[in-house]
This record gives sequence, structure tokens and C-alpha cells, in this order.
Amino acid sequence: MTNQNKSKKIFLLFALLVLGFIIFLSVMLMTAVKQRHIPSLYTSESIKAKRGSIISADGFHIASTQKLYKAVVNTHSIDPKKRDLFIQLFSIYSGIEAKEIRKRLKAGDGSVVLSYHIGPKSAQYLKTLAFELRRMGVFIEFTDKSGRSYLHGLSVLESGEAREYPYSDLLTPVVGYPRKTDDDDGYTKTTGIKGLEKYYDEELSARQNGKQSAPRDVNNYLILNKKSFTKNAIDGLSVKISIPVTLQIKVERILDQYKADLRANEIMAVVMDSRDGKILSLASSNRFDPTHIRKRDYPALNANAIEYSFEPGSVLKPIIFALLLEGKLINPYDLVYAYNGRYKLGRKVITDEHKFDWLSAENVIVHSSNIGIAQLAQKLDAVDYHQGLMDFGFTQRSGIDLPYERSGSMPSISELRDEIYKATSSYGYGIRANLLQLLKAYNVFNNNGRIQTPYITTALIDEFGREIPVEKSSSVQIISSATARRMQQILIKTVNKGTGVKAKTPGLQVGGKTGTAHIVERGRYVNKYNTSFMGFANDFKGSSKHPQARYTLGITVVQPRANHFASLTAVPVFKAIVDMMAEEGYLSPLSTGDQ
Amino acid sequence: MPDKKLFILTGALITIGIILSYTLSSYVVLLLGYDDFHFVLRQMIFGVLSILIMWSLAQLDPDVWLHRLGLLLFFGGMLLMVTMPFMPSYLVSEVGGAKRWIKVLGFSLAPVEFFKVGFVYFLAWSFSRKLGHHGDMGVFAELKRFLPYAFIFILVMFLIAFMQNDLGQVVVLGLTLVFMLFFAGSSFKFFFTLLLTALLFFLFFIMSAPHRIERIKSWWASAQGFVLTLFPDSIAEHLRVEVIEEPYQIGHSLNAIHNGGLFGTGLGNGTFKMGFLSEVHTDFILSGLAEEFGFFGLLLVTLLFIWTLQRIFKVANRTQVSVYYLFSMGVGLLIAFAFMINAYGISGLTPIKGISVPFLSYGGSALLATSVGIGMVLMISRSVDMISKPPK
Repeated sequence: MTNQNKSKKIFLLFALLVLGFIIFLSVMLMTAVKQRHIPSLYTSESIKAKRGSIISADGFHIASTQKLYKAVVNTHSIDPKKRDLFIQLFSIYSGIEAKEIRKRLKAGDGSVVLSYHIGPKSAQYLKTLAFELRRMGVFIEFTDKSGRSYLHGLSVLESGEAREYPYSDLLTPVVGYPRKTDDDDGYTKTTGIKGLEKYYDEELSARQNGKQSAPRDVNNYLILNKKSFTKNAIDGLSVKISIPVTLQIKVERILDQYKADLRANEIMAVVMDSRDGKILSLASSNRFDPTHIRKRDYPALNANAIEYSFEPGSVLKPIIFALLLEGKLINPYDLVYAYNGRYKLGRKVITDEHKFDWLSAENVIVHSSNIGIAQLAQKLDAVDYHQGLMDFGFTQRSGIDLPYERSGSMPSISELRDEIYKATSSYGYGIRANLLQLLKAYNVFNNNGRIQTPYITTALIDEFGREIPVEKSSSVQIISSATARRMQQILIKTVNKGTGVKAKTPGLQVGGKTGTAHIVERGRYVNKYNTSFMGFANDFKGSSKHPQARYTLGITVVQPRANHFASLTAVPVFKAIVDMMAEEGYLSPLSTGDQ
Repeated sequence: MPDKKLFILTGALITIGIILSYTLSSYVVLLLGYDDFHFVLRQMIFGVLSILIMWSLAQLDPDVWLHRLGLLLFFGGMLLMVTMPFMPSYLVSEVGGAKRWIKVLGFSLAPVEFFKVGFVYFLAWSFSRKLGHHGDMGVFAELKRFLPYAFIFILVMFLIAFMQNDLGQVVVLGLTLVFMLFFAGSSFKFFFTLLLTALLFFLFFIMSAPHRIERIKSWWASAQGFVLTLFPDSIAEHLRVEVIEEPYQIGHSLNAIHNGGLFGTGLGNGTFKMGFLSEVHTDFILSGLAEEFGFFGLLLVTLLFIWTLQRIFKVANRTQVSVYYLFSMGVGLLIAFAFMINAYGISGLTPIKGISVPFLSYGGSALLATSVGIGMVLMISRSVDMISKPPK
């Protein structure tokens, strides 16, 4: 073998190899440059923002939103040999029976949704499972009709949100209820239909859906790096309300008890802080579970404290009396003749429940004399009468933060020029108002003559947990504080010596006025009644450390069948709530020794 | 003096391999829950070890050590491969029913990699003793002369292909054997006869099983895109197969290469390494390289390989000792065939075979063994005048 020959052979080989390399490189160059359909390098994930919560004053989430997820798998992707493994594991992780999963897989061809209603916790577990299944090689690539290969796994995706009410019927109908709607992507959202859910629907609604797009891996997991883009989801604002669950629940229990005892259609109660109009409890005996509304719940869906206007009856007397006092038209000690219970005014006969001959003007309120107030009311000029009632908030919405409030009605100025209208209106007929309007009017007496707009929501809470206070309307002085104080004393006397005597609570300053009125059915008064008690309960303690507690309370019993006297229906409810509030520390009664 | 250029070139390739084992293993690391540095640390240890071994071997005298080392690798490797199936399981790791690795100090070593170098030495040694120039002796006489080696090769094939289930290695070894035979002095006639026989064997092997035919078909689906551009349209139309799908792995390999384009996505930015290509840090390392460093990165690495081969062949050409000459050729061929089969596989030109790329693919045994081979070539280069012009 010559060197020459050897070198030639080696060179030939080397040249061949280089040729081989060149072929390889040219194929690579062509692949790199020539157009080619490659799978998407990026993936994006939407993160749906949630509706805000409704949070009680003591921090309980009365309404909250939970996200629901769906699990999707492609039937072609599951290795037939590992199908049983998949079914067993999915069953364990999701809590769905293996039989059910098998049925769904069998029914589907291609993409199959195994469940739509997976909670966030299970969803988290299933995402872990999806990863483990990859590792176990459960998923295989498959080819579609166009010849493209795919490797799909188990995907756990957002399917919608569910509104939850952990305390069931608590605070209904004030919280209201939502309705499900689908957005463009088939994602189920909730929208408020009534109550706070409706009033604050815009604030509660999710503000911005989040989106994340980034380079992906084969499983469509996002790779977060400098090329990724994140838009944060901004949930809806949460609504923080002034009502503590602990108080509300007790008020509701009292109402439930009395509804049964009195065989009433409904009992409503409101507790308000007299100083600023903050509602502490707004309860009804007629409630419902917002997640399971049945046909028989329909009448309970309305918040009757604002949506039910009724003729208030005698609870209106103190309002007229206050107007007379403010106009210096009467003196509490003026004497009024009460015609022994039967008084004819034009063609109208006015009667009293308790018969009197002479009584002082203030006792007209204390003993609730229709005849007395009818005569006193004649001293009010029609314009002042009308304006006065307007000032006290009649025919004006109370302004509480709930939707669909009825504003009620009252006689016009020209009607009020008539003495009979003046008379009947003074004891609460021909006027319609809702419980909140009455409460707002009564609060004037316990708040130095200033009228206050009641409110439920104290703040909105944003995604960072910051509280944004809700702007409150300022109060307006509508009667002098002297008049207010005088009225306060008369109402206390009513409780101590008059029709409200069953509300008397030792150690507390309790005042109020009863009211009973016939219900109108088809334009006629029938023998059915609404009874009310509007009043206040204050304690005597007043120091800079412990300011005096002052609450205005309103009770309305709709159509009690056991009894139609307010003193035996609405007053005991009032008393039960005041006692309970004393027990719970909202009011601090003086012990008998202190008095 | 040993050939510095060869040493530096292999060192450079090993370094590139270490970098690739870090960036391309990111998905596997996540999937299996390994430490980030799991692969790169091991590759680095083997890389440094390999460079040290090359350097040490380069210091030795080939006249004394080449023979000892070569036969040790051959017989030692063969012994291990024969006894491995009978070893207890704490000594050997079993994957898919094949016992390929022996556990040593917490690492797994594959004897077959070392055996390949030993096999090449054994062939070089016996060819140089028994075979001379063919001197127009006729194909049959040559065949007769070749028979003992054919027997050894069949034995080796049995060991590797059936007991270790590693067909790719057999193809590389077979090709190396045939080419070495040619360089040892066989005639062109005999050389082509053997190649043809091998090709027929290969065809028979494919035709004997329908799933292999399917595989070839699916290979053609991806290869035709390139191959048919070389033919005029009229002929190309006849050859075109209405697409059965592109094989999943090859499809993603081509996606990766395309995604890399000319300049690559940049280190660490590849997408198709993220689980699309399942063996991206071993068998598909060239696709991973092409994705992150682009065509030019790949061109650079290929040039490094060509240059390495050129140095090895130069050693072979300059040495006067025929064992050295044949051994150097053998080592060069081993590297060239392994690279070529892999490269053609990942670009869809030939049906893919599980062959790793020398120096680059993750794997300690292959790296160590190839470096031992290079170290032995470096040892030879000490006895060769690499600088002066060859005598005419």
C-alpha cells in the first residue's frame, strides 16, 4: 500500500463526508427559511375577575362569589391502556363516581367536559393531577383529519361563578338575590336583581378580567419571563354594611317567634343609630334562601320595609303635634275636649278607643286620642301642614341604599284645606308611608330636631383591602331642638303612662307611639289591621369615653290575627328587641340603685 | 507533541455540550422534579473528566500503551456485556428490559460505548496483521479472508442488538467495519459487495414487519418535502405520497429548526424544547441547538466537527504504522457516522434511530468513551510529524 494511495482514499472519504454534511446543512437551512406552519408559541389564560362580597359590620361574608371550574379532556388523547388509571384517579381527585366518568368518556368523541361544577379546591387538586398524569404518560399524541398531531392533556378551566350565601336566609330580603347570565365566552356570571345586590350591582360587578399571555410549553403551561404579559384581574368592590350579623340574627329570631305567636302575615323591624342614620338591623320575618328561591318565596322577595306603603295610623299623631308645637300653635298643657269618645266633624264621625272628656294636649298623644288630634290639627294652615309633612320626609324616598323604594302619598294642599282631610291625616289615614320613612321621621325627635338619611353601607372595599367610605348626606334641622326635646318627653310619657306602657324598660330612656290602621282592600277599609310602634331607646350613660347610646326603632306588624291592638302586637316586639340589645351591650341600663 | 488543535477542538465541542445540557434540559427537570443543575452538573463532571483523560492519554507512548488500552477496552467491554445480564440488579440498571448500564460510584456507565472504541482497535490490530493489499485476489477469496471478522461482528451484533436492544449502535459499528475493511486494503468490488449485502439485509429487515413499513412511509412524508425539490415536477408528482402525517417527533424537530431560523431564539428561549421534543437533551440535541442558536449556530458546530475529522484523518494519513492508521480512521468513522445518522434523522432525511451526537448529547459514558478514543488518537499524533509537508 503506497502512501499516495492511502492519502487518496482518505481524501475521497473526507470529501464524501463533507458532501454528506453539506446536504445536511442545506436541508437545515431550507427548513429554517422555508415557510412552515408551526404550532403557536404563545398561549394565554384568562383570569376572570370575581363579583365582590357583601360583608357585615362584624366581618361575616353574607354574600360571596365562588369560582367554578370545568374539567375537559380529549378522548383521543388518553392512552387506551391507561384509560382505567385515568378514570380511577380522576374519580378520586374530583369525587365524581368512576361509573359517571366512564359514561361521559364513552358518550363523547373528542373534547369531553367531565364536570362543570368543580370548586376552587378540587380544581387545584385536578390541576396537580393533570401534571401527574402527564408524567405517567397517560396522554398520547393523536392526529386529526388534516394530519396535524396534537398532545392534549386534562385541562381545568374556569366555567363560571356561583353566588353563595353562607348564612342562607340571613338579612334577606335586604341583601336581595342575583341572576345568572352568560358572558360572551360562555362564562356564567351573576347580576344583582334586588336588594343590596341590585343597588350596588355596578360596584360589586367584576371590574377587569385578568389576562396572561406568555410563551408556553407543550402542556400549555405559561412560562413567565420577559416576553410574558400580565393584566391583573380586578375583582368587584366589596360592600361593607353597618349591620352586624350577631344582632341581625337575634332580631330575626324575635320576629320569627312573634310572627308565629301573633299569626301575622309579616313583622318588620328596623334599628337605627339615632345620631347618624346608620342601620343596625333591618329585619323581616319573611325571608328566603337566595340560592334556592321557591315559588312560595315570591312574596318575600320584596324588601317590604321600603316597598310596602301603608296608612300608618296613630303613629302620625306626634308628627302633627310636633308641627303644632314648632309653629307655637299649641301649648302641651292646653286643654282639649274629647267629646267622650264620639265627635262629629261635618258628615264625618270620629271615635276614640278610650273615652275622655277633657285632657291636656300632650295627653292627646299619650292616650292617642283621635278626637283630640283632629281638633288640634285644624290650627295648622294647609300649606304648613303639607310642607311640614314633606319636611319630615313623607312622600320623599327615605334615601336608604336599597332599590325600588316606594315614596308613598298624602293629600294635596288643596285637599288639606278641608277640615276632614286635616283631621283624618292627623291620625294617619289618607297618608301612605313605608316603615323606613316613618323611622326617619321619628328619628328627628331623638336627634335634636335633625333629620338623617338612613344608610346600610358604610364603605366599599377595593382589591387591596382599602376601605373607601361611602359619602353620607348631611342632616337637616327641621324642628328646633327644644321642640324635639319636648316631643321626646311626651313619647317617654306615652311609654310610661300611656298606650306604650308595655315597652317600659327600667334603667333606659324609652319613648314611642303606637299605631293601628285598617287595611284597604279593593278600595275599602276591611277588618284587617297593620299595627306599628315607632320609638327610641337610649341609655343614660353619657361620658366622653362612653357616649350615650341612642337608637331609633320601628316595628310594623302586618295583619296580626291574634290581636289588633298595637300595644299587644308591635309593642312587645319592640320591647323584646330593646331587652335583647341591652343584653348584647348595645344599651347599658342603669341598675335600679342608680335611679 | 500531540496535536493541539484536535485537543482544543474536542474541548470546545465538549464545552458546547455542557452548555446545551443546561438549557435543553429545562423541561425534563421540571417534569421530573429534579434540581435545575441536575443534568449540567453531571455533564460538567464527565466533561472535565474527559478532557483530563484526553490530556493524560496524549502524554503516553503509543508503542507501549495503545495496544494495551485497545485490547483492554475490547475484551473488558465484551466481558462486561456478556456478564451483565447475569449481574444483580443493584449493579446494573435496567431500562425497558435491556440491561445497558453498570452502576459505578453513583453513576451509570454503558460498557457498549467503551467497547466500540475497543472494537475499532481490535479491527485495526487484526486487519493490519492479517490483511494486506487485495492484489486482485477475487471477491470470494476476499470473503474467505473476511469470514472470521464477519463471525466476530455477528457475535457483537447479537450482544448489542438483542441483549441490549440497541440497533443504532450496530448500524454504526457495521458501517465502521465495512469502511475499515476498505481502508485496510480490500478492493472496491468487495467493498461495494458488502455495502450492497448490508443494504439488502436492511431492506429485508424493514419489509419483514408492517410497522417498519409504516415507519418508512411516515418518514417519507417528512422527507419528500425536501427530496422532491431536487426532481423536476413531472417526476416529483409520481413520487409524492398523499400525506400520511409527519411523525410527531420529526414534526417538532423541524418546527424547532424553523423556529430557530437563521440566528436562533437565543440561549434559553426555545419553545419546542419545552416538552414538544421529548429527547431534546440527548437524541434531538441538534434540533435544540438549531432552535436556540439558529442555522449559524448549527453551521459553526458542524464546521467544528468537520475540522475535528480533518485533524483525525490527518493523523491517520501521516502515521506510518498501519495499526495507528486504521485505528485513527476507525475513530474518525465512528464519530462521523454517529453524527451523520443523528443529523439525517433529526432533519427527517432518514428514519430516525436512537443515536446520540458525539460530545454534544447528554450522557457520560458516550462522552468518556469518545474522549478515550480521541485521547488514543492524540497519543498516536505524538509519534507523527503533523507540521511538515508530507513527503511526495
